[in-house]
Amino acid sequence: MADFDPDGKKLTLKVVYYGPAQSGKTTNLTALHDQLSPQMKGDMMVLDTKGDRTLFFDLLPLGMKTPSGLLLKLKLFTVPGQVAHDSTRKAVLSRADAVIFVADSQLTQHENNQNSFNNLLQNIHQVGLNPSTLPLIIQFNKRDLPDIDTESNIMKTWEGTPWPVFFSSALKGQHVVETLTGTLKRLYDHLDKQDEDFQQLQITKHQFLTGLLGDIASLKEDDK
Amino acid sequence: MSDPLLPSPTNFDDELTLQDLLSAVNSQRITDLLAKVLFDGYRICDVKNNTIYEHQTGKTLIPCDIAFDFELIGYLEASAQQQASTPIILEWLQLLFGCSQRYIMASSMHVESVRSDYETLNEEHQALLASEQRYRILSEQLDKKVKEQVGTLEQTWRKLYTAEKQASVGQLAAGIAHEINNPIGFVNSNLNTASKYLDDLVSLGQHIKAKASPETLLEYWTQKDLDFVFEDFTDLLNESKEGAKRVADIVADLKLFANLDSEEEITIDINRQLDVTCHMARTSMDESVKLSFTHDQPCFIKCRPAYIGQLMLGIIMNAADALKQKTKGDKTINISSQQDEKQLFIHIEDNGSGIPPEMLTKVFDPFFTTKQVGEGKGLGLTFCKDIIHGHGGSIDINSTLEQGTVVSIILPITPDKTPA
Repeated sequence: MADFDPDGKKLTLKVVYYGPAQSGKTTNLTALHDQLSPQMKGDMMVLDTKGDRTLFFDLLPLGMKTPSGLLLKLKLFTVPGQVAHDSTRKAVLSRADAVIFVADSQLTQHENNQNSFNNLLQNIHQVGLNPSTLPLIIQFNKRDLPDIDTESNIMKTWEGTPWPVFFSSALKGQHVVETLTGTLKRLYDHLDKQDEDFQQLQITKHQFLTGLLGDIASLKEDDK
Repeated sequence: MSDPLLPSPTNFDDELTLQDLLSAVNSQRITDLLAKVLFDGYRICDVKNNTIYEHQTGKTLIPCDIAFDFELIGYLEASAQQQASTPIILEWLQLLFGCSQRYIMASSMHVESVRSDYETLNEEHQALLASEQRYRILSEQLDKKVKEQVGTLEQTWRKLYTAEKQASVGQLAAGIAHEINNPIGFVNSNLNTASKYLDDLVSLGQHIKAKASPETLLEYWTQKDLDFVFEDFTDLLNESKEGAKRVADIVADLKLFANLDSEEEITIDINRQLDVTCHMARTSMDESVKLSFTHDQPCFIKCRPAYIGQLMLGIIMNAADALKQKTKGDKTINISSQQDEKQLFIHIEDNGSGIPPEMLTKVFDPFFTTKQVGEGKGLGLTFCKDIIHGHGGSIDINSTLEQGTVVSIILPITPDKTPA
């Protein structure tokens, strides 16, 4: 969970992109790296094999100074989607503050999505996270492809669940920022209510979002 | 391995310090290179002013920030004259930090996932051990249960055996009572007559003592027909002796039959045992049945005599039962005993009613019986089979309806079976 560093000058948050192999988790990060203009943005670190398959994880660090002068760091991680890398997935998922599940919208990928989501729920439990309070967002990616499940169909499946659903095309850079924005709003609400360290930052939701994401169009007045 | 600069993050995503980031490259080469460029002297320290590398020449050094991932992680100090070099050196360090970070995070991740795999394996191993332990306990319990059940079965078997034996003993007792009653009856009546004869003889003696005349004595002799009395007296005594001997014989047989009621295995002449058994069977059998027993020389077998006698009696009584309904022709039970070096063959053959084929397959089954309720428990042949198997032999039944039945028993003879 969100913790101050030993000196009390820095708070680090961790958001993990989870999902089946080749659903576009790394592409999400790449698009964010290109589109976001936070106060601070680190280099994107990619650890992949030759076939563009994530081997360990990808990392994009974002940061901002709070009004009181403290550093707030947001680390965006991706997990390796391939089934074989489960222990790596668990290690990445450990200590996550929020999770974005990136599903593949293609009709052929239904079963892979399901297996990966079950794997996520299982691992959330195993690494000691609380599934009922952990902010979890579903993103159906690859909306630009043909032969994809319809939005109404997908919504029908997920409407009974506590998790909001976003539709995106990471390759075209569409609705990737919206997904992260939605996630951070939930994360802010959650931390603001429950996390004493975070409450000490005395930061507004608007400051939180613009500081980490930049001035972006998807922020509405009510977030200020 | 003693390098204090070795990275020691416990989690792969822990924040890396300047020391961590510098630890991934050879410290000698870094310090050599820095000393060549910043020959006026330099110092690298972390945010808490702990020196990591330095080369002092006495000149005053001016610090500038070292940042990584938009975070201040330390300071690089150089002389005023060499400030122009520091931005380039910082650029190089950034490049180096990027590589270090990739390396450290990847290796920490690797360690973390290996550890978690190991823990998973360990947990599975523990679970396997636990389940193995569970199965061992189960198997021990099972073993104990089986032994208990076997004990119970043996006990039940013994009880049933005793009950069955008592039933046949009861049957036998009736026959033997009759057999003993007969001689006792005529011995009794003989003795009564004998005591009357004795009275006659006593009064004859009184006549003699009173010095009676020879005519009177002769008249008395003729009147009492003492010629016949003396003749008959001898006959009576002989007959009574014969009767007493018959009782003694039956008692001897009974004694042998009963005396052998021991669980111990002893070596006996099986043919003698069969002989006695035939006598016992004879007593409870209809007189119209011709019972014959033919055998060779004595045959010594180590066995439980009580069991063997019991089973032979059972089979002979079965044969007698099969003859009860027969009205035409003679009724015979022929028992024969033959032997070779290794085996004894006993056949009990009757010419009675026979066994229907559909029943023949069931006769050895427990509780199968053709007798009326109360007459038999249906365990007779089951016991026979158990006893024969217990002695390492075999039993077989052949039967033709209305013609008769042959029971064949084979018992092994082992070399050391000599009489005790």
